[in-house]
Amino acid sequence: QSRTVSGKVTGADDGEPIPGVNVLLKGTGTGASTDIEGNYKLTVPEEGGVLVFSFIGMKKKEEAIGSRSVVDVQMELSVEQLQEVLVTGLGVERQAKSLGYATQNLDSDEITKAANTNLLSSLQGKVSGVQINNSTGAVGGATRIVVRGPTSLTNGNQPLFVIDGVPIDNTQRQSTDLRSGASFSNSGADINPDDIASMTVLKGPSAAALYGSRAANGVILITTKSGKGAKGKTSITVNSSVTFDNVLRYPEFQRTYATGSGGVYNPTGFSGWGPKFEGQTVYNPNDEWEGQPDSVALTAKDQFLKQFLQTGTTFNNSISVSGGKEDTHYRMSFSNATSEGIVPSTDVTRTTATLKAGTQLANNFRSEISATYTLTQSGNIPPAGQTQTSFMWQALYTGVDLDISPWKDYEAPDGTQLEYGSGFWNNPYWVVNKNRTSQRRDRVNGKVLLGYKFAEGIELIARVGTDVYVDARKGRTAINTVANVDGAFYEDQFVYNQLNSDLFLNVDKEIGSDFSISGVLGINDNRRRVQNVFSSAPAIVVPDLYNYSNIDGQPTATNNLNERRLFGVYGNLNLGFRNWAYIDFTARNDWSSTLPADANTFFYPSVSGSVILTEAIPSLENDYMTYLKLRGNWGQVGNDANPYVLSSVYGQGGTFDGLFNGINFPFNGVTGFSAGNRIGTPDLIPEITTSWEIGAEIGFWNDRLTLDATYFDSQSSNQIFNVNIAPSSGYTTVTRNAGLMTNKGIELLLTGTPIRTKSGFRWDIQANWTKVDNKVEELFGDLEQLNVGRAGFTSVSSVAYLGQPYPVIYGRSWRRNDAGEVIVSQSTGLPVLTNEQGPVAKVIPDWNGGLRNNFSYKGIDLSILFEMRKGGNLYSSSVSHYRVNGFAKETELGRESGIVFNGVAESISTEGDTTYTKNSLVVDNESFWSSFSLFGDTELGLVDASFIKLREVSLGYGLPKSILDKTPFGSVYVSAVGRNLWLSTPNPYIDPEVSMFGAADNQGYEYATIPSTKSWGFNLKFTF
Amino acid sequence: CLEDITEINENPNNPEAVPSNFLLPSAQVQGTYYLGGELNRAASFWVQHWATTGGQYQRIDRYDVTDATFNNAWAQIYAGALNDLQIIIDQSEELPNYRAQARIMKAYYFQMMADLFGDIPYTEALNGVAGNITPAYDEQRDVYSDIIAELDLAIDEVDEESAVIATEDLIAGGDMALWIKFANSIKLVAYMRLSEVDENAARDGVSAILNSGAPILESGDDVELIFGSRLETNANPLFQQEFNRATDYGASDTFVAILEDLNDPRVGTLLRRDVNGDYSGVPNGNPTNLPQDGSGNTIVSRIGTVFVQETSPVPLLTYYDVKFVEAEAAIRGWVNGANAQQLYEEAVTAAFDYYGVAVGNYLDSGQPAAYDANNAYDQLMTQRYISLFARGVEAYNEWRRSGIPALTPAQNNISGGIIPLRYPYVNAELTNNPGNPPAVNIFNDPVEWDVN
Repeated sequence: QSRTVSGKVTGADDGEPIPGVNVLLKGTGTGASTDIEGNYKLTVPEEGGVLVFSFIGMKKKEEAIGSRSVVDVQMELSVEQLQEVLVTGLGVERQAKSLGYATQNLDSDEITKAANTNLLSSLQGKVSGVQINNSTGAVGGATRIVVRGPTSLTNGNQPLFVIDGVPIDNTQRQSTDLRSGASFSNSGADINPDDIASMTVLKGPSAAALYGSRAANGVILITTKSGKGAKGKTSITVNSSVTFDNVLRYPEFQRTYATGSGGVYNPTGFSGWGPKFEGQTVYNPNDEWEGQPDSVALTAKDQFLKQFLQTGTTFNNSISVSGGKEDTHYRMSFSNATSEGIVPSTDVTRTTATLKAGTQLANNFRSEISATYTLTQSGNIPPAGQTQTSFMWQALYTGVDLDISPWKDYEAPDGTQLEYGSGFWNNPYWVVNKNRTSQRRDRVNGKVLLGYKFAEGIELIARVGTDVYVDARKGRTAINTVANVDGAFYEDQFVYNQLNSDLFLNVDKEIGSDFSISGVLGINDNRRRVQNVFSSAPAIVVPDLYNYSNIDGQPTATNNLNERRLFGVYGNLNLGFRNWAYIDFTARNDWSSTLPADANTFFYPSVSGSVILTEAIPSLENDYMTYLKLRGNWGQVGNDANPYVLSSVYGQGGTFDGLFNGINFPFNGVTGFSAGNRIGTPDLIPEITTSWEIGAEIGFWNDRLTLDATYFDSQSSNQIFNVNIAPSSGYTTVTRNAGLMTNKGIELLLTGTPIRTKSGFRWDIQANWTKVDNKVEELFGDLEQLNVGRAGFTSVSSVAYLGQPYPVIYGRSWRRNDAGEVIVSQSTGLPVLTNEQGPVAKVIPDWNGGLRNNFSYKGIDLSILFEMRKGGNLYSSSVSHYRVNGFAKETELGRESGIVFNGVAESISTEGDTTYTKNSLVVDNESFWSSFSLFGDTELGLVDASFIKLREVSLGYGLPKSILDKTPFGSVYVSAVGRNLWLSTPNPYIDPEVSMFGAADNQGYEYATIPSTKSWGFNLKFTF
Repeated sequence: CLEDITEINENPNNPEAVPSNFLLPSAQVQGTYYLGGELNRAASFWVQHWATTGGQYQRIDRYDVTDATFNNAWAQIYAGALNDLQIIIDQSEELPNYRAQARIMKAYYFQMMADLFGDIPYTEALNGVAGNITPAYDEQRDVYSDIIAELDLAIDEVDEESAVIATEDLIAGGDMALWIKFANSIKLVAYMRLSEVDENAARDGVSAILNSGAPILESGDDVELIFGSRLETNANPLFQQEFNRATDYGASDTFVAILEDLNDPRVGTLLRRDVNGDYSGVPNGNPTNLPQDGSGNTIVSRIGTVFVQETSPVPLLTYYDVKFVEAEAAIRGWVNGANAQQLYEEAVTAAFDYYGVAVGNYLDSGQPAAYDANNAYDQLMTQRYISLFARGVEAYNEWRRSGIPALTPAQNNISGGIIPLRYPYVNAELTNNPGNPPAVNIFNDPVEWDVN
């Protein structure tokens, strides 16, 4: 005997019917789904039975039938991510539970909570498996993102950015020296965070395989907001914020002794070994300025950087209009973010306008279009590093007795520069006001999409996306600039163009009640082209006019075209069984323009699977553990070469000894060419990364607490890189396939709600933790080390070293005995350096993690995010300078009594026995510190990069509905926000997150880098 | 269409082949830039022509050089100048004069490298494209032998009927007669360099050239490269050094004392007056107590303006170099019937003439520089030392060969009082060509021809 039960399923929040809800008789295969009105009908046994209602994005609900014939149900929205729908490869939506790999999704709120206008840095501390570094506190600074450890030795480790299924460029383009001068941001900084609905980080090759070779470093998938689900209403959202930036950490200076040496005051002496501050009257170094007295009292003031840097401000305003009905939707937005930097006269402005619209047509077609125009503009980006125009370099040589307030007057009536002292430094106000490096990037990206639905769950999609920008920079050096008295300028222009076309069939079908099948079969054509023209003039004639009509001498110019094309065929098949078991296959074959013509194709597959054990074996489910999913995958992803590396080439002649100006051709009017330094290799094969991972998602107490744990292992082999070779071969590098680098790691993500009371108080926690063990397993032949890039120091470099994590800081360290004690020279009292250079310290951290606490009560919410990193190192040449030059706080010790370095003296007896005795040699403080080799002693600048940072705080209030109903507003939300407000790290001088190389691979170095910032401000958001 | 996809991978930015004539000027400038710049600098401190007065070159002046010091020079000479010259030779089979020009230039640079570094990659060098990226090192004497064979081959190759690299030949303008003189003169200097280690070979070689009447450099035949405008980044390397770090070096007191002892009128050309209007030097090694002027700069004579113009030439080989070899051969009694005094005086006069300084009564009897048969070798080598001012590489070679003048090591030196006997092998070779560079100590191990 059986009977029929029916009912209506509605949403608990709005009471609207929910179509498509899966209704299952528990313990059987019997089920139905709700129709468009939310109604269902099901045949059930005569007695008892429990109905299980499930729907993507809703909490699963069980209801005993009892004797009822009508069972109406209200379903609640699920806030936990485990049940979420995720956007996966190609912008196709899949249920999170069907995925056999780890993903982490961030919604717009999580991204924009702290009103950060930089999307890349707004992800810091929030995603497991991902490390994000902000390289400087200057406007427009670069951000480096590494997903699951570095995989490539020299070809970059930045993930691919994909917006609504279309890849966009996130390259840090830099023609000028990254070690000095202005540093430009990665182009991903163009994205307006307010336009983002959600982001998903795809971490492993299996997750990323469908993006092809460019996904080897992971994929950041971005879904932009749309007007979908607007239910016929137009809504307008306005978001405004203002934030203020200050330096997060100034170096801790000693404030007892003045500039000079040997106890004698010398304001231009570059070091802090002068007399004690006693208010004595001394010669005024600012006497060049009119009205300045000849002598002044010698006192400790704010350090130079504190006097020079200012509070930066950012105003961010955006407005968006969105709306739609069942079959059309649209969204438009306009935003402007204007920042003034902490460095005077520096700024960056980003303006975006975007349109996204879609329509569902009656004849089974749908179409979608989106376009964004972005203008990123900077009037001046500050210089840093070691150049005579870098105030940061000057700061390494300037004590606390200098008053720079008169310096704001930087130009004499005759146009010469007003600077103090020896004439070695430029007046920093001169530099920031006259030597401006400007940038303007105009960018358009977007897509058109046309879909045709053959039947329910089978759709053919054609999508063409582009990303085009023109990035023009101009660097100016004014006449009368120290070290460049003739003035100079350069123009640097990049024209970037990417065209990405996909045609694919998307299938998502239930077969019977037990099986589901979904899959994709498609082709992809990706064309990228970047054209660069760099030109410069060595001197100008009339001041302040930077044009080739006004130059002395000849301009020089270089131009470069870089063009590549990748064609791919790909497929994906996901089979599901009873909503609790899934297996997923992907395969892709690529043809690349950059590989040898007869071997330009490569294939890579992946397989992944997942089982939701709590649904497969309902008895597993108990009062505590309510959800258990196991997953695993194996996959490969290939990567092609850079363009034009197959052959050796010639270039214009020229030479440079690293010290002075060098020689350029033409030489006295004669043209000269020289064979390039690199030997091309015509038989390259693709790089390949192979990885596997296993993971589990466990939900406790109805997903009140969830844990997502992953272990992964990846191997990147056949790497294409330039091996340094003996110059006596006639060349210095050869391009080879070689090398093996492995990453093994653990990622944990814990999400929970410890407290949720009836009165509306709620405390949510989200914690993530990542540990990646990276190892360089093989380089090339017997090669032990590979230079990752010039670190800019003669004796310290960034190196991939056999058997070590990538990269290591390489140089000379202190000799230690077996007990680990530092051996001290008995002639100098200084630690003894090792004879040979070697790996000194690793750069990547042991682990990193983030912890977010969210408290909410009646419209008030408080969110606090900490980020922690343990281990890893930074070589800070700034710190070496502070010490050697006698400005560091620690150099205050022993000024009168001398210094005994904590180490041991080594003595070797005539029999050859070595004994160590505690060092007791007293050395004069100044000679101790100034005897260190500034660039040769790696340990002097070595800094433990561990830190804890208070990344984000926001305290907000949303007006309650009862008040809003009397106003035209749909919502009003105000908040106070802060970022990087607090830092704890072992060294008192710098934030160890800074880097002089931005997003490049030679990490772990810092030299005269502009300090990072903390910021706070207010945010107002309202809709109507 | 998929086969065609690689067509866009043809390099649009750089050529994959270049005519030989455009390779020669780069090779000439690149090698000579180092001859007159980085390689000159360390040697000029070590032979105590110059002394440091600031931080920039202090370590070099104290002999504190490492495997990183000459990395650039080594790399750009091998993987630049020498490689380009080898390419000219390899791709110019139909153009014998092109090959001769490149071969002579190549021999000159290889000798320069062998003199400074000792054993160097030679036979297996410059073969990277063919797959040898770890060339073996040849002994210095073997390099010398083959250089001389190469120079002979080049001289034989010269073909009056055939094309020459003319416009692009920045040191000889395609004058093949001058190239032959240059080649013979290199041989002359090379043979003389062996005087101490193998006097017979040196004597036979030098005599053979002088007796055969083979063309050698004559008065006015200076082989040198004239540099160009700073604004076009064509300037002389010493101009660049002066322009950027003018106050970091000056005259060594050793050199000033030698000029003073000889009442040498060249002092006003080789040096500038200091702020007090005097010619003064400072001790090498940058001691802390150097006299300072009001603006904190050391009081010292800086090197002569003739060396630090944008367009100042860098000499490779001059007429007076050849005269000095002739005079030395005579003093050594290698040449029957030669008039040693006359050749000594001709050599010194040629060195004066090079700078346009009148020799006056400098060589007259009674003057300190007047020829003294009992002390002729010392006198000649002292004159040689003066004549090579600001030509550090050759000055260092001749000082190591002869030990004249005797030098007191720099103050604050890191070597326990030994002036380096050679340049250290560079990091790029030690790391990437493991096992091939011989293990040497630059303070203990002289190069093969240096037995003094």
